Amino acid sequence: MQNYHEIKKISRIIDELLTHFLSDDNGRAEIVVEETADAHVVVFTVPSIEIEAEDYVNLVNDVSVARNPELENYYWPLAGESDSESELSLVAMMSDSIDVTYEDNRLELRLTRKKTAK
Amino acid sequence: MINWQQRKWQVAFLTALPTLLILTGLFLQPLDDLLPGMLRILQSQSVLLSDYLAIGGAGATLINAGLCGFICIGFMMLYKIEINGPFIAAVFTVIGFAFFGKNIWNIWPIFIGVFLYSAVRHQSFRNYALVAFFATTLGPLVSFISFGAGLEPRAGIALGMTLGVLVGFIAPPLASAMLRFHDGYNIYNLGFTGGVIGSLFVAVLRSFGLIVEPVSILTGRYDLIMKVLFFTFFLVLIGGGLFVQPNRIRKTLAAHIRIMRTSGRLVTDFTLVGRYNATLLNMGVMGIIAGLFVIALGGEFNGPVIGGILTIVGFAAFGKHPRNCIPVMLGVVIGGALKMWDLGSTPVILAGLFGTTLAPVAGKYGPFWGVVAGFLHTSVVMNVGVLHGGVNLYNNGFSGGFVAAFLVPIIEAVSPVAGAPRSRRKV
Repeated sequence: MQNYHEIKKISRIIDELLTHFLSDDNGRAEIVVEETADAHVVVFTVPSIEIEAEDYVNLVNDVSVARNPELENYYWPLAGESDSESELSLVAMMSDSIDVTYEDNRLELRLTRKKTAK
Repeated sequence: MINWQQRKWQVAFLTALPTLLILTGLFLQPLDDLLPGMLRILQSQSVLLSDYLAIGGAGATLINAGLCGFICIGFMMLYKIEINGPFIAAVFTVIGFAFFGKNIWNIWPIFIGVFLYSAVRHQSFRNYALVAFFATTLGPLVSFISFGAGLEPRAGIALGMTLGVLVGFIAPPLASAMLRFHDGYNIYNLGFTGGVIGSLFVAVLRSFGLIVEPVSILTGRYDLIMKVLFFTFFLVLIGGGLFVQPNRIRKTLAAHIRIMRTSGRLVTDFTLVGRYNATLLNMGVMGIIAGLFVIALGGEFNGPVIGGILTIVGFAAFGKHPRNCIPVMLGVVIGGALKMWDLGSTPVILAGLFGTTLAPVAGKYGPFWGVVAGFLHTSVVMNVGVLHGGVNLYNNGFSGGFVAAFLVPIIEAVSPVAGAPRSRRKV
Protein backbone atom coordinates (compact mmCIF):
# COMPACT_ATOMS: atom_id res chain seq x y z
CA MET A 1 0.00 0.00 0.00
CA GLN A 2 1.38 3.38 -0.98
CA ASN A 3 1.82 5.59 2.06
CA TYR A 4 -0.93 8.12 1.57
CA HIS A 5 0.90 10.58 3.80
CA GLU A 6 3.94 10.61 1.52
CA ILE A 7 3.20 13.81 -0.40
CA LYS A 8 2.16 15.54 2.79
CA LYS A 9 5.46 14.60 4.37
CA ILE A 10 7.37 16.16 1.45
CA SER A 11 5.29 19.29 1.92
CA ARG A 12 6.11 19.35 5.62
CA ILE A 13 9.83 19.02 4.91
CA ILE A 14 9.66 21.99 2.57
CA ASP A 15 7.54 23.92 5.05
CA GLU A 16 10.13 23.31 7.75
CA LEU A 17 13.00 24.45 5.53
CA LEU A 18 11.13 27.59 4.51
CA THR A 19 10.18 28.34 8.11
CA HIS A 20 13.75 27.85 9.20
CA PHE A 21 15.65 29.70 6.51
CA LEU A 22 13.37 32.29 4.96
CA SER A 23 13.55 35.54 6.87
CA ASP A 24 13.55 39.27 6.30
CA ASP A 25 17.25 39.18 5.54
CA ASN A 26 17.03 36.18 3.22
CA GLY A 27 14.00 37.12 1.21
CA ARG A 28 14.42 34.55 -1.55
CA ALA A 29 14.43 30.79 -1.54
CA GLU A 30 14.24 28.38 -4.46
CA ILE A 31 12.68 24.97 -4.22
CA VAL A 32 12.82 22.19 -6.77
CA VAL A 33 11.00 18.94 -6.08
CA GLU A 34 11.62 15.99 -8.34
CA GLU A 35 10.02 12.58 -8.17
CA THR A 36 12.04 9.65 -9.44
CA ALA A 37 11.08 6.00 -9.59
CA ASP A 38 12.18 5.29 -6.05
CA ALA A 39 12.61 8.63 -4.34
CA HIS A 40 11.66 12.26 -3.97
CA VAL A 41 14.49 14.75 -4.30
CA VAL A 42 14.14 18.23 -2.84
CA VAL A 43 16.72 20.86 -3.75
CA PHE A 44 16.34 23.85 -1.46
CA THR A 45 18.45 26.90 -2.22
CA VAL A 46 18.86 30.23 -0.45
CA PRO A 47 20.80 32.36 -2.99
CA SER A 48 21.98 34.99 -0.54
CA ILE A 49 22.49 34.19 3.09
CA GLU A 50 25.30 34.90 5.53
CA ILE A 51 26.16 32.02 7.82
CA GLU A 52 28.92 32.14 10.41
CA ALA A 53 31.29 29.19 10.59
CA GLU A 54 29.94 27.96 13.93
CA ASP A 55 26.36 28.14 12.70
CA TYR A 56 27.28 26.24 9.58
CA VAL A 57 28.81 23.47 11.69
CA ASN A 58 25.64 23.36 13.81
CA LEU A 59 23.52 23.21 10.68
CA VAL A 60 25.51 20.31 9.29
CA ASN A 61 25.30 18.54 12.65
CA ASP A 62 21.53 19.06 12.82
CA VAL A 63 20.97 17.44 9.44
CA SER A 64 23.52 14.67 9.93
CA VAL A 65 20.93 12.45 11.55
CA ALA A 66 20.11 9.15 9.88
CA ARG A 67 16.59 8.50 8.60
CA ASN A 68 14.55 7.12 11.44
CA PRO A 69 11.23 5.54 10.42
CA GLU A 70 10.44 4.72 14.06
CA LEU A 71 10.26 8.41 14.91
CA GLU A 72 9.15 9.69 11.51
CA ASN A 73 5.93 7.72 11.55
CA TYR A 74 4.91 9.26 14.83
CA TYR A 75 6.28 12.78 14.83
CA TRP A 76 6.16 13.93 11.19
CA PRO A 77 3.09 16.18 11.73
CA LEU A 78 5.30 18.46 13.84
CA ALA A 79 7.59 19.32 10.92
CA GLY A 80 7.01 22.86 9.78
CA GLU A 81 4.94 23.72 12.83
CA SER A 82 7.52 25.83 14.66
CA ASP A 83 10.78 27.69 14.19
CA SER A 84 12.43 26.03 17.17
CA GLU A 85 15.89 24.63 16.86
CA SER A 86 15.03 20.99 16.92
CA GLU A 87 13.00 20.67 13.76
CA LEU A 88 15.88 20.32 11.30
CA SER A 89 16.72 17.08 13.07
CA LEU A 90 13.19 15.93 12.36
CA VAL A 91 13.67 16.81 8.68
CA ALA A 92 16.84 14.73 8.75
CA MET A 93 14.96 11.83 10.37
CA MET A 94 12.58 11.99 7.41
CA SER A 95 15.36 12.01 4.79
CA ASP A 96 17.72 9.32 3.57
CA SER A 97 20.41 11.85 2.79
CA ILE A 98 20.93 15.60 3.01
CA ASP A 99 23.89 17.17 1.23
CA VAL A 100 24.70 20.70 2.35
CA THR A 101 26.85 23.09 0.35
CA TYR A 102 27.64 26.72 1.12
CA GLU A 103 29.65 28.75 -1.38
CA ASP A 104 29.67 32.48 -2.09
CA ASN A 105 26.79 33.06 0.33
CA ARG A 106 24.68 30.51 -1.53
CA LEU A 107 23.26 27.73 0.61
CA GLU A 108 21.98 24.55 -0.99
CA LEU A 109 20.43 21.54 0.70
CA ARG A 110 19.80 18.50 -1.44
CA LEU A 111 17.46 16.04 0.28
CA THR A 112 16.70 12.56 -0.93
CA ARG A 113 13.78 10.67 0.51
CA LYS A 114 13.30 7.13 -0.70
CA LYS A 115 9.72 6.01 -1.12
CA THR A 116 9.91 2.80 0.86
CA ALA A 117 11.15 2.81 4.41
CA LYS A 118 9.92 -0.31 6.12
CA MET B 1 36.66 1.61 28.04
CA ILE B 2 32.99 2.22 27.40
CA ASN B 3 32.20 3.38 23.88
CA TRP B 4 28.61 4.65 23.70
CA GLN B 5 28.64 4.29 19.93
CA GLN B 6 28.63 0.54 20.44
CA ARG B 7 25.20 -0.97 20.83
CA LYS B 8 26.33 -3.44 23.49
CA TRP B 9 27.05 -0.57 25.90
CA GLN B 10 23.74 1.12 25.09
CA VAL B 11 21.92 -2.15 25.78
CA ALA B 12 23.86 -2.59 29.02
CA PHE B 13 22.75 0.88 30.13
CA LEU B 14 19.12 0.29 29.21
CA THR B 15 18.94 -3.10 30.93
CA ALA B 16 20.60 -1.86 34.13
CA LEU B 17 17.42 -0.58 35.79
CA PRO B 18 15.15 -3.57 35.07
CA THR B 19 17.94 -5.92 36.15
CA LEU B 20 18.40 -3.97 39.37
CA LEU B 21 14.66 -4.02 40.03
CA ILE B 22 14.30 -7.77 39.52
CA LEU B 23 17.32 -8.65 41.63
CA THR B 24 16.19 -6.31 44.42
CA GLY B 25 12.63 -7.60 44.17
CA LEU B 26 13.78 -11.15 44.86
CA PHE B 27 15.05 -10.04 48.26
CA LEU B 28 12.20 -7.74 49.30
CA GLN B 29 9.47 -10.31 49.66
CA PRO B 30 9.40 -13.95 50.80
CA LEU B 31 9.78 -16.17 47.76
CA ASP B 32 6.57 -18.07 48.53
CA ASP B 33 4.64 -14.78 48.47
CA LEU B 34 6.11 -13.51 45.19
CA LEU B 35 3.83 -15.51 42.90
CA PRO B 36 0.65 -14.72 44.88
CA GLY B 37 1.74 -11.07 44.94
CA MET B 38 2.22 -11.09 41.20
CA LEU B 39 -1.20 -12.67 40.71
CA ARG B 40 -2.77 -9.96 42.87
CA ILE B 41 -1.16 -7.36 40.62
CA LEU B 42 -2.29 -9.07 37.42
CA GLN B 43 -5.85 -9.43 38.70
CA SER B 44 -6.17 -5.88 40.04
CA GLN B 45 -8.30 -3.42 38.09
CA SER B 46 -5.22 -1.15 37.94
CA VAL B 47 -7.05 2.14 37.41
CA LEU B 48 -5.59 5.31 38.91
CA LEU B 49 -4.31 5.25 41.66
CA SER B 50 -3.58 1.55 42.18
CA ASP B 51 -0.25 1.30 43.95
CA TYR B 52 1.14 -2.15 43.15
CA LEU B 53 3.39 -1.88 46.22
CA ALA B 54 0.20 -1.99 48.29
CA ILE B 55 -1.53 -4.61 46.16
CA GLY B 56 1.23 -7.11 45.41
CA GLY B 57 4.06 -6.22 47.79
CA ALA B 58 7.45 -4.67 47.05
CA GLY B 59 9.10 -7.76 45.59
CA ALA B 60 6.34 -8.59 43.13
CA THR B 61 6.05 -4.93 42.12
CA LEU B 62 9.73 -4.54 41.36
CA ILE B 63 9.77 -7.79 39.43
CA ASN B 64 6.70 -6.71 37.46
CA ALA B 65 8.39 -3.38 36.65
CA GLY B 66 11.62 -5.07 35.63
CA LEU B 67 9.83 -7.63 33.44
CA CYS B 68 7.77 -4.92 31.73
CA GLY B 69 11.03 -3.12 30.97
CA PHE B 70 12.59 -6.28 29.58
CA ILE B 71 9.56 -6.92 27.37
CA CYS B 72 10.05 -3.51 25.74
CA ILE B 73 13.80 -3.99 25.47
CA GLY B 74 13.15 -7.43 23.94
CA PHE B 75 11.09 -5.82 21.19
CA MET B 76 13.88 -3.31 20.61
CA MET B 77 16.40 -6.12 20.25
CA LEU B 78 14.10 -8.18 18.03
CA TYR B 79 13.44 -5.29 15.65
CA LYS B 80 16.95 -3.78 15.95
CA ILE B 81 15.56 -0.46 17.13
CA GLU B 82 18.04 2.32 17.82
CA ILE B 83 18.46 3.14 21.51
CA ASN B 84 17.92 6.90 21.45
CA GLY B 85 16.21 9.49 23.62
CA PRO B 86 12.60 8.70 22.71
CA PHE B 87 13.03 4.98 23.33
CA ILE B 88 14.92 5.53 26.59
CA ALA B 89 11.99 7.70 27.67
CA ALA B 90 9.51 5.04 26.59
CA VAL B 91 11.23 2.19 28.43
CA PHE B 92 11.63 4.19 31.64
CA THR B 93 7.99 5.31 31.39
CA VAL B 94 6.77 1.72 31.05
CA ILE B 95 8.94 0.67 34.00
CA GLY B 96 7.73 3.60 36.09
CA PHE B 97 4.06 2.97 35.41
CA ALA B 98 4.56 -0.71 36.12
CA PHE B 99 4.57 0.44 39.75
CA PHE B 100 0.91 1.48 39.45
CA GLY B 101 -1.10 0.32 36.48
CA LYS B 102 0.90 -1.50 33.83
CA ASN B 103 1.67 -5.14 34.25
CA ILE B 104 3.06 -8.03 32.28
CA TRP B 105 -0.44 -9.00 31.23
CA ASN B 106 -2.38 -5.82 30.42
CA ILE B 107 0.26 -4.39 28.07
CA TRP B 108 0.09 -7.30 25.62
CA PRO B 109 -3.33 -6.68 24.01
CA ILE B 110 -2.19 -3.14 23.21
CA PHE B 111 1.03 -4.40 21.64
CA ILE B 112 -1.02 -6.86 19.58
CA GLY B 113 -3.29 -4.04 18.41
CA VAL B 114 -0.36 -1.91 17.29
CA PHE B 115 1.14 -4.96 15.59
CA LEU B 116 -2.09 -5.50 13.66
CA TYR B 117 -2.14 -1.84 12.64
CA SER B 118 1.43 -2.08 11.32
CA ALA B 119 0.44 -5.22 9.39
CA VAL B 120 -2.52 -3.43 7.84
CA ARG B 121 -0.21 -0.58 6.83
CA HIS B 122 2.31 -3.08 5.38
CA GLN B 123 4.97 -1.64 7.66
CA SER B 124 7.26 -3.17 10.23
CA PHE B 125 6.10 -3.10 13.87
CA ARG B 126 9.40 -1.34 14.48
CA ASN B 127 7.98 1.83 12.94
CA TYR B 128 5.19 1.90 15.52
CA ALA B 129 7.01 0.42 18.50
CA LEU B 130 7.39 3.81 20.19
CA VAL B 131 3.64 4.40 20.07
CA ALA B 132 3.07 0.82 21.25
CA PHE B 133 5.22 1.34 24.34
CA PHE B 134 3.58 4.63 25.26
CA ALA B 135 0.07 3.40 24.37
CA THR B 136 0.21 0.99 27.28
CA THR B 137 -1.07 3.99 29.22
CA LEU B 138 -4.47 2.37 28.60
CA GLY B 139 -3.49 -0.95 30.17
CA PRO B 140 -5.96 -0.34 33.03
CA LEU B 141 -8.81 -0.42 30.51
CA VAL B 142 -7.88 -4.06 29.84
CA SER B 143 -7.55 -4.84 33.54
CA PHE B 144 -10.72 -3.04 34.61
CA ILE B 145 -12.92 -4.77 32.05
CA SER B 146 -11.31 -8.12 32.86
CA PHE B 147 -11.41 -7.96 36.65
CA GLY B 148 -13.16 -4.82 37.86
CA ALA B 149 -16.35 -4.60 35.86
CA GLY B 150 -18.12 -7.49 37.53
CA LEU B 151 -18.39 -9.53 34.33
CA GLU B 152 -18.17 -13.31 34.21
CA PRO B 153 -14.37 -13.95 34.31
CA ARG B 154 -13.89 -15.48 30.86
CA ALA B 155 -16.18 -12.93 29.23
CA GLY B 156 -14.45 -10.11 31.09
CA ILE B 157 -11.00 -11.23 30.02
CA ALA B 158 -12.12 -11.70 26.41
CA LEU B 159 -13.78 -8.28 26.30
CA GLY B 160 -10.84 -6.62 28.08
CA MET B 161 -8.37 -8.08 25.63
CA THR B 162 -10.54 -7.13 22.67
CA LEU B 163 -10.75 -3.53 23.84
CA GLY B 164 -7.00 -3.51 24.45
CA VAL B 165 -6.32 -4.72 20.90
CA LEU B 166 -8.72 -2.09 19.58
CA VAL B 167 -6.96 0.64 21.56
CA GLY B 168 -3.61 -0.49 20.20
CA PHE B 169 -4.95 -0.52 16.67
CA ILE B 170 -6.23 3.05 16.74
CA ALA B 171 -3.42 4.54 18.84
CA PRO B 172 -0.81 5.17 16.09
CA PRO B 173 -2.88 7.40 13.79
CA LEU B 174 -4.50 9.18 16.71
CA ALA B 175 -1.18 9.83 18.43
CA SER B 176 0.21 11.57 15.36
CA ALA B 177 -2.98 13.55 14.84
CA MET B 178 -3.10 14.74 18.47
CA LEU B 179 0.36 16.30 18.16
CA ARG B 180 -1.24 19.13 16.22
CA PHE B 181 -3.49 20.00 19.15
CA HIS B 182 -0.63 21.14 21.38
CA ASP B 183 2.06 21.54 18.72
CA GLY B 184 4.60 19.42 20.59
CA TYR B 185 4.56 21.49 23.80
CA ASN B 186 3.03 18.62 25.78
CA ILE B 187 5.78 16.02 25.98
CA TYR B 188 3.41 13.21 27.06
CA ASN B 189 1.51 13.30 23.79
CA LEU B 190 0.27 9.75 24.27
CA GLY B 191 -1.17 10.94 27.58
CA PHE B 192 -3.37 13.35 25.73
CA THR B 193 -4.17 10.74 23.10
CA GLY B 194 -4.87 8.14 25.79
CA GLY B 195 -7.11 10.60 27.59
CA VAL B 196 -9.19 11.15 24.48
CA ILE B 197 -9.41 7.43 23.72
CA GLY B 198 -10.09 6.53 27.36
CA SER B 199 -12.78 9.18 27.73
CA LEU B 200 -14.62 7.94 24.65
CA PHE B 201 -14.38 4.29 25.67
CA VAL B 202 -15.44 4.98 29.24
CA ALA B 203 -18.35 7.13 28.06
CA VAL B 204 -19.61 4.19 26.02
CA LEU B 205 -19.06 1.75 28.90
CA ARG B 206 -20.91 4.04 31.30
CA SER B 207 -23.83 4.21 28.89
CA PHE B 208 -24.09 0.42 29.27
CA GLY B 209 -24.10 0.73 33.05
CA LEU B 210 -20.43 -0.10 33.69
CA ILE B 211 -19.18 2.39 36.26
CA VAL B 212 -15.48 3.21 35.99
CA GLU B 213 -14.25 5.32 38.88
CA PRO B 214 -10.74 6.24 40.06
CA VAL B 215 -9.52 4.55 43.27
CA SER B 216 -6.89 5.48 45.83
CA ILE B 217 -4.85 2.47 46.99
CA LEU B 218 -1.53 3.76 48.29
CA THR B 219 1.15 2.71 50.74
CA GLY B 220 4.17 4.44 52.20
CA ARG B 221 5.40 1.23 53.78
CA TYR B 222 8.41 0.89 51.49
CA ASP B 223 9.33 4.58 51.51
CA LEU B 224 12.84 4.27 52.93
CA ILE B 225 14.01 1.29 50.89
CA MET B 226 12.71 2.88 47.68
CA LYS B 227 14.46 6.15 48.46
CA VAL B 228 17.75 4.34 49.05
CA LEU B 229 17.33 2.23 45.92
CA PHE B 230 16.46 5.03 43.53
CA PHE B 231 18.73 7.76 44.88
CA THR B 232 21.58 5.26 44.57
CA PHE B 233 20.58 4.55 40.98
CA PHE B 234 20.44 8.25 40.14
CA LEU B 235 23.88 8.83 41.66
CA VAL B 236 25.19 5.93 39.57
CA LEU B 237 23.71 7.59 36.48
CA ILE B 238 25.51 10.84 37.31
CA GLY B 239 28.72 8.96 38.02
CA GLY B 240 28.32 7.01 34.80
CA GLY B 241 27.76 10.18 32.79
CA LEU B 242 30.81 11.89 34.24
CA PHE B 243 33.33 9.16 34.90
CA VAL B 244 33.00 6.26 32.46
CA GLN B 245 35.03 8.40 30.09
CA PRO B 246 37.04 10.47 32.59
CA ASN B 247 39.02 12.20 29.84
CA ARG B 248 35.78 13.72 28.52
CA ILE B 249 34.37 15.29 31.70
CA ARG B 250 34.71 18.86 30.41
CA LYS B 251 33.13 17.90 27.10
CA THR B 252 30.30 16.18 28.96
CA LEU B 253 29.63 19.28 31.05
CA ALA B 254 29.69 21.44 27.92
CA ALA B 255 27.29 19.03 26.24
CA HIS B 256 24.98 19.23 29.23
CA ILE B 257 24.90 23.00 28.84
CA ARG B 258 23.89 22.43 25.21
CA ILE B 259 21.08 20.18 26.44
CA MET B 260 19.95 22.86 28.91
CA ARG B 261 19.76 25.41 26.09
CA THR B 262 17.16 23.42 24.19
CA SER B 263 13.48 24.10 24.67
CA GLY B 264 12.69 20.41 25.02
CA ARG B 265 9.81 20.65 22.61
CA LEU B 266 9.07 17.45 20.73
CA VAL B 267 11.26 16.11 19.06
CA THR B 268 14.42 16.91 21.07
CA ASP B 269 16.59 13.84 21.42
CA PHE B 270 19.34 14.51 23.96
CA THR B 271 21.40 11.56 22.75
CA LEU B 272 21.79 13.61 19.57
CA VAL B 273 22.14 17.03 21.20
CA GLY B 274 24.54 16.05 23.97
CA ARG B 275 25.49 12.42 23.29
CA TYR B 276 25.27 9.65 25.86
CA ASN B 277 27.49 10.92 28.68
CA ALA B 278 25.61 14.19 29.03
CA THR B 279 22.28 12.40 28.67
CA LEU B 280 23.13 10.06 31.54
CA LEU B 281 24.25 13.02 33.60
CA ASN B 282 20.99 14.83 32.88
CA MET B 283 18.95 11.76 33.76
CA GLY B 284 20.72 11.38 37.09
CA VAL B 285 20.42 15.07 37.92
CA MET B 286 16.72 15.10 37.08
CA GLY B 287 16.19 12.00 39.21
CA ILE B 288 17.82 13.71 42.19
CA ILE B 289 15.78 16.89 41.63
CA ALA B 290 12.53 14.93 41.33
CA GLY B 291 13.33 12.89 44.45
CA LEU B 292 14.21 15.97 46.49
CA PHE B 293 11.03 17.65 45.24
CA VAL B 294 8.99 14.80 46.72
CA ILE B 295 10.88 14.91 50.01
CA ALA B 296 10.62 18.70 50.23
CA LEU B 297 6.84 18.49 49.94
CA GLY B 298 6.70 15.80 52.60
CA GLY B 299 5.68 13.06 50.18
CA GLU B 300 6.38 9.35 50.27
CA PHE B 301 7.99 7.13 47.66
CA ASN B 302 4.87 5.09 46.90
CA GLY B 303 4.17 3.41 43.56
CA PRO B 304 2.71 6.40 41.67
CA VAL B 305 5.38 8.76 42.99
CA ILE B 306 8.15 6.36 41.92
CA GLY B 307 6.44 6.15 38.53
CA GLY B 308 6.49 9.93 38.28
CA ILE B 309 10.16 10.12 39.18
CA LEU B 310 11.19 7.38 36.73
CA THR B 311 9.18 9.02 33.96
CA ILE B 312 11.04 12.28 34.55
CA VAL B 313 14.34 10.40 34.48
CA GLY B 314 13.40 8.72 31.20
CA PHE B 315 12.30 11.95 29.61
CA ALA B 316 15.55 13.53 30.74
CA ALA B 317 16.81 11.82 27.58
CA PHE B 318 14.02 13.35 25.52
CA GLY B 319 13.14 16.91 26.41
CA LYS B 320 13.40 17.49 30.15
CA HIS B 321 16.23 19.24 31.94
CA PRO B 322 16.50 21.34 35.08
CA ARG B 323 16.04 24.68 33.31
CA ASN B 324 12.72 23.78 31.74
CA CYS B 325 11.33 21.56 34.53
CA ILE B 326 11.94 23.54 37.72
CA PRO B 327 9.70 26.50 36.76
CA VAL B 328 6.79 24.14 36.04
CA MET B 329 7.32 22.32 39.35
CA LEU B 330 7.42 25.69 41.09
CA GLY B 331 4.14 26.65 39.43
CA VAL B 332 2.53 23.46 40.70
CA VAL B 333 3.81 24.16 44.23
CA ILE B 334 2.40 27.69 44.13
CA GLY B 335 -0.87 26.31 42.80
CA GLY B 336 -0.95 23.61 45.44
CA ALA B 337 -0.24 26.10 48.23
CA LEU B 338 -2.85 28.64 47.15
CA LYS B 339 -5.59 26.23 46.17
CA MET B 340 -7.66 23.76 48.16
CA TRP B 341 -5.31 20.77 48.11
CA ASP B 342 -2.80 19.44 50.61
CA LEU B 343 0.66 20.22 49.25
CA GLY B 344 2.09 16.92 50.50
CA SER B 345 -0.71 14.76 49.11
CA THR B 346 0.10 12.25 46.40
CA PRO B 347 -2.12 13.90 43.71
CA VAL B 348 -0.38 17.28 44.14
CA ILE B 349 3.07 15.67 44.17
CA LEU B 350 2.15 13.74 41.04
CA ALA B 351 0.99 16.99 39.44
CA GLY B 352 4.40 18.45 40.22
CA LEU B 353 6.30 15.48 38.83
CA PHE B 354 4.20 14.73 35.77
CA GLY B 355 3.38 18.41 35.23
CA THR B 356 6.84 18.64 33.72
CA THR B 357 5.14 17.36 30.59
CA LEU B 358 4.82 21.13 30.04
CA ALA B 359 8.58 21.70 30.35
CA PRO B 360 8.87 22.88 26.71
CA VAL B 361 6.69 25.88 27.57
CA ALA B 362 9.31 27.02 30.08
CA GLY B 363 12.13 25.98 27.76
CA LYS B 364 10.83 27.99 24.85
CA TYR B 365 9.14 30.99 26.45
CA GLY B 366 10.99 31.35 29.76
CA PRO B 367 10.52 30.49 33.42
CA PHE B 368 7.59 32.87 34.01
CA TRP B 369 5.42 31.03 31.52
CA GLY B 370 6.64 27.74 32.93
CA VAL B 371 5.35 28.77 36.35
CA VAL B 372 2.04 29.84 34.80
CA ALA B 373 1.77 26.50 33.00
CA GLY B 374 2.42 24.60 36.24
CA PHE B 375 -0.09 26.73 38.12
CA LEU B 376 -2.81 26.07 35.54
CA HIS B 377 -1.89 22.40 35.29
CA THR B 378 -2.54 21.85 39.02
CA SER B 379 -6.19 22.74 38.55
CA VAL B 380 -6.77 21.08 35.18
CA VAL B 381 -5.24 17.74 36.14
CA MET B 382 -7.51 17.48 39.17
CA ASN B 383 -10.56 17.76 36.91
CA VAL B 384 -9.89 15.72 33.78
CA GLY B 385 -9.45 12.32 35.45
CA VAL B 386 -13.19 11.93 35.89
CA LEU B 387 -13.60 11.86 32.10
CA HIS B 388 -11.72 8.61 31.65
CA GLY B 389 -12.34 7.22 35.13
CA GLY B 390 -8.65 6.58 35.72
CA VAL B 391 -8.11 4.13 32.85
CA ASN B 392 -5.61 6.52 31.24
CA LEU B 393 -2.51 6.34 33.38
CA TYR B 394 -0.95 9.45 31.82
CA ASN B 395 -3.63 11.70 33.28
CA ASN B 396 -1.14 14.55 33.54
CA GLY B 397 -0.37 14.21 29.83
CA PHE B 398 -4.08 14.51 29.15
CA SER B 399 -4.19 17.69 31.22
CA GLY B 400 -0.94 18.97 29.74
CA GLY B 401 -2.41 18.81 26.25
CA PHE B 402 -5.21 21.16 27.25
CA VAL B 403 -2.91 23.55 29.10
CA ALA B 404 -0.39 23.72 26.25
CA ALA B 405 -3.06 24.17 23.60
CA PHE B 406 -4.64 26.94 25.68
CA LEU B 407 -1.46 28.69 26.75
CA VAL B 408 0.92 28.60 23.79
CA PRO B 409 -1.22 30.67 21.38
CA ILE B 410 -1.73 33.26 24.13
CA ILE B 411 2.01 33.41 24.82
CA GLU B 412 2.72 33.71 21.10
CA ALA B 413 0.32 36.63 20.97
CA VAL B 414 1.60 38.58 23.97
CA SER B 415 5.24 37.59 24.43
CA PRO B 416 7.80 39.85 22.72
CA VAL B 417 10.27 36.95 22.66
CA ALA B 418 7.86 34.68 20.85
CA GLY B 419 7.00 37.42 18.38
CA ALA B 420 10.58 38.35 17.49
CA PRO B 421 11.41 38.32 13.78
CA ARG B 422 13.00 35.09 12.68
CA SER B 423 15.83 36.96 11.02
CA ARG B 424 17.30 37.68 14.48
CA ARG B 425 17.97 34.07 15.19
CA LYS B 426 20.74 31.97 13.79
CA VAL B 427 20.22 29.38 11.11
